[in-house]
Amino acid sequence: MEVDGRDFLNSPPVKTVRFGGTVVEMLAKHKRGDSRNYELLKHQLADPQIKDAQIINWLQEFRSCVTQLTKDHEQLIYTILRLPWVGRSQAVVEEYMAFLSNLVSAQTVYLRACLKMVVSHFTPKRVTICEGGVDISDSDDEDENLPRNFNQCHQALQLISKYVPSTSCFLMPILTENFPFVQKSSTTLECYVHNLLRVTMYIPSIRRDVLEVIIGKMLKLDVSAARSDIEEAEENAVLNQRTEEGLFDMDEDMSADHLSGAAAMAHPVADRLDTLMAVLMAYIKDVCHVDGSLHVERTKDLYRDLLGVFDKLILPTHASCHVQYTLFYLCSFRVALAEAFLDHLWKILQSPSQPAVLRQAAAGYLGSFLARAKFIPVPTVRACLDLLLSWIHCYIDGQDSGDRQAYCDISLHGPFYTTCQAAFYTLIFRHRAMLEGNMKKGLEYLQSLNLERVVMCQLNPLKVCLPSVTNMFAAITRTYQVVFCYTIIERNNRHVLPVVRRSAGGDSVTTNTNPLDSFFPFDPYLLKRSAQLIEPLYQVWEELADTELLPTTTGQQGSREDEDDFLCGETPQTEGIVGMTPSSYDSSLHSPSCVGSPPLTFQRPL
Amino acid sequence: MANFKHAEDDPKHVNMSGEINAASAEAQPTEESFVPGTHAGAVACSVPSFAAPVACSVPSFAAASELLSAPYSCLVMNTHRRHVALPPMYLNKKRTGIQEELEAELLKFSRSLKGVPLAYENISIVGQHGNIYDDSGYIHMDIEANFIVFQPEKGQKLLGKVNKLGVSHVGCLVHGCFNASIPKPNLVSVETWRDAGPRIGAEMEFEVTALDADTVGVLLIRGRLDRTRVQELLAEGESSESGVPADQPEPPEAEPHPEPTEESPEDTPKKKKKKKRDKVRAEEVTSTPSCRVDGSTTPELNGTIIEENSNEAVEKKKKKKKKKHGKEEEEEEEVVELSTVEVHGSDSSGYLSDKPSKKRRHETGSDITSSVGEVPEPPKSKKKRKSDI
Repeated sequence: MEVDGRDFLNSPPVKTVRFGGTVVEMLAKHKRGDSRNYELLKHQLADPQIKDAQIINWLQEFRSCVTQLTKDHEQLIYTILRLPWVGRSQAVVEEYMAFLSNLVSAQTVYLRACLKMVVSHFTPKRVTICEGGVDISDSDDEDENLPRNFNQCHQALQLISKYVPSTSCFLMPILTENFPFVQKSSTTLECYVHNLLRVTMYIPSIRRDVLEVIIGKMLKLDVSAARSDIEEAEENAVLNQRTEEGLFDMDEDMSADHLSGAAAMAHPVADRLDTLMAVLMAYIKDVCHVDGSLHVERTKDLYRDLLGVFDKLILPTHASCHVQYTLFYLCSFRVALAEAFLDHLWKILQSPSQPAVLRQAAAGYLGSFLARAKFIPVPTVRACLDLLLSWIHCYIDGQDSGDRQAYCDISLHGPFYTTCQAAFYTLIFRHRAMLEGNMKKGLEYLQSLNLERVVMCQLNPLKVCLPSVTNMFAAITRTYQVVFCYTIIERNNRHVLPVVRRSAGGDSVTTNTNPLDSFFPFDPYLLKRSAQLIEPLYQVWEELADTELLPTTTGQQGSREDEDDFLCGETPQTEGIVGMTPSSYDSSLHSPSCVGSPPLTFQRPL
Repeated sequence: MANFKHAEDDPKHVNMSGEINAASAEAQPTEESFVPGTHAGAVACSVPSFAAPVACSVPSFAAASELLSAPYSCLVMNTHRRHVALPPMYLNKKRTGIQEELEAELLKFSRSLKGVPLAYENISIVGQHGNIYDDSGYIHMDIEANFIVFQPEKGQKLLGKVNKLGVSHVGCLVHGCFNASIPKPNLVSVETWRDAGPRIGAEMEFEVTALDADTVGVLLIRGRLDRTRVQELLAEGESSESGVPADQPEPPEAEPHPEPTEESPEDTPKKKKKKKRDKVRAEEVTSTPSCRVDGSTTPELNGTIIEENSNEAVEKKKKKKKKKHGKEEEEEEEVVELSTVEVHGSDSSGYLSDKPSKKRRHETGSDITSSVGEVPEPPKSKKKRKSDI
């Protein structure tokens, strides 16, 4: 680094206004008890309008007596560290870095203070100047300088970690502490996350922790932006735009519409999350690709780090909507990664020592991933189905062989039911691909899964699965004459009635439509900007050509006219998805009528 | 030293009594018998050989134990017992929890260990049960593990790899992860320091003068250069100066930068001294200034004039040293007592500075973090005047 060469060079002093004598004299006086000049110097250093030349002069002096700046001069050091060096002229920046490297090397005890100072520059500072009672923000200027400023910060951090290799042990708490509050503007968050990720490029040992911090914060955003809220906000925004359409010229409106559509989400939290997702996914792409081609080792490393975070944070978080797509995206780079991810989920799912909640969540991920990831080839899907169904059959065997009669109990058999649901869900999405080409073989395969036994067993999985999944599964299996579920569905519905009556008090209806409290993590991606990366990989729901389904869908549509109306008009491609696999919340919140009047709806297909 | 040992024992007592209630007091004598029991017990989770897969700069246990026997490593392996409050999420994976706890402390200065843990192995849980106090979910337990601790003490020697050469100090890394800062000896000129001082990447031996740590445990070793090294530097500096034919105009040439004018007062006297020295040399006058006590300087002077003799001169000086402070050469610990003043190799001052240095040592002996490096500065400059000429 060119800064090294500066150590024994001093630029000729520029005439500057200063008081209090040289630093060395000042330190000597201070030691003798006369701290007037000392205070004076601190005061001058803290002046917000300090000149470049002054900074350079003082820093040079400090640099030459850095060994004397021991712990007794903590305040002085803190004052120096607060000097506004970022964004100054190149000479100041270089001098400052020379000083920093000397300080950190000679007085390592100030390591954390230096790190804090550098990290504090990771977010853009908005400087407002008050001129004649009017606040002028120079944020426009800063936007241009931001990349340069960040470069300087990273250069400083690299210098520090070069001279103090143990930086990596002390940096992480500082990075966590300085993370901006999640309600800050999306620019602030974006800059900080961007810089954090950049740090991992030259201090790779902290990457897992950094990812953990970032994803933890993103999860906080994610869970506070519920899917329904985002949809509603978008809907309102569109409505507003419509009303404006009448007022403005078409062309103008088109361009404005285009811009705002690409740039921002109507939901403020979703907007922030969208920005961060875009940054994180860009990072994932950058790390894994070298010169445009995939770098296998680096991808594997990143996968390992990300999977660790997944286990620790994402998997236990109920109903996160978007953050999990980071893994989805990463897995799309290589089939082997997707398979590894499936294998990992499978291990959690079948491990009896894992808590039931996690096993159920893993089943949800497994089903959703198999169903939605376009990049998973059919043979892999089949292998997974084989695994799932053989496990299900084993489970049923175990229950049958027991002395007691097995009965439907979610608290006992939660993992079993979610596994069944995952299998059904996968079949719903993938049956067409499996049957394509060789219909006969495909049907034979479906038959070999022995789904009938699963459906008919004492544990009665259809009773517990989401109604939408049940209905769709029933329709499909009926079409191909694999299983006939309707008798069971009907019977279940009749049995459900007393439960509704019992909990007629209010919200507890929810428990009935989604007793497993399951959700599908890879439901449609709603964030606009980052969606561009996900869309090509994502299997959207294609409405079945067969008309058998229609009654069911219309039945649901009738129950919630408003939502579907909007969906039909604005986002046609999601219509089917909402109608057929509503995220667990939609179904539970908006369609209590499914429970209320099921016989009619469900009888019709028969 | 006795002082130090006392301090070592203290925290242990505090630890024990603080964490393990009444039983702890008795537990200490029976500590050894306790441990095997836990090994057999169901709770025991011992890690046979654990290679820490942590940050790049943290060596594995195996690597660290190899360093143990290296000269000047200042590494100690000992069994240490400590308290761990395990979050409930680790209930079924205690080992992971404990490891994470311990790993977070690696490379950080710990008072209870009196040093910096570098690696650990053989975790075992002391006692049969962990405790949950009140309504806090943490499981409190005592564990024991073998730690390799970096425990440098004042006066010990260390080997460091130079990674930074500044105007007034040299920074080096011990074991690749601990920073040590060694101030430039005051009598060595900046030019000599730059040209003949430690090279980046070179191994350097130095003596610990103080340990400094901040609240979180960032460790800084303050050290000082070897006496011989200082002599070499000095000799080198003088020889390079004398290598220039014209002595008089040299000082301004050597310092073309305006820094000395605004630099430390230490520098200004130095410069004056240099000029004085040059004058003396030019006139070939051997008159001794008032502060010099014995006649030993004559060979020294010769050494400075004739390049080839310089090494010889240093040796002679050393010998003199030995005669003067025979004891100090024999025992390393004695060296600790001597302030930096003596190390800079002036033969005249041994007795003069002995007293103050002892005083200083008493002040600083009790706590490690006190900054000794700073204190000897003023006497140093005095010394310079004496020995420089």
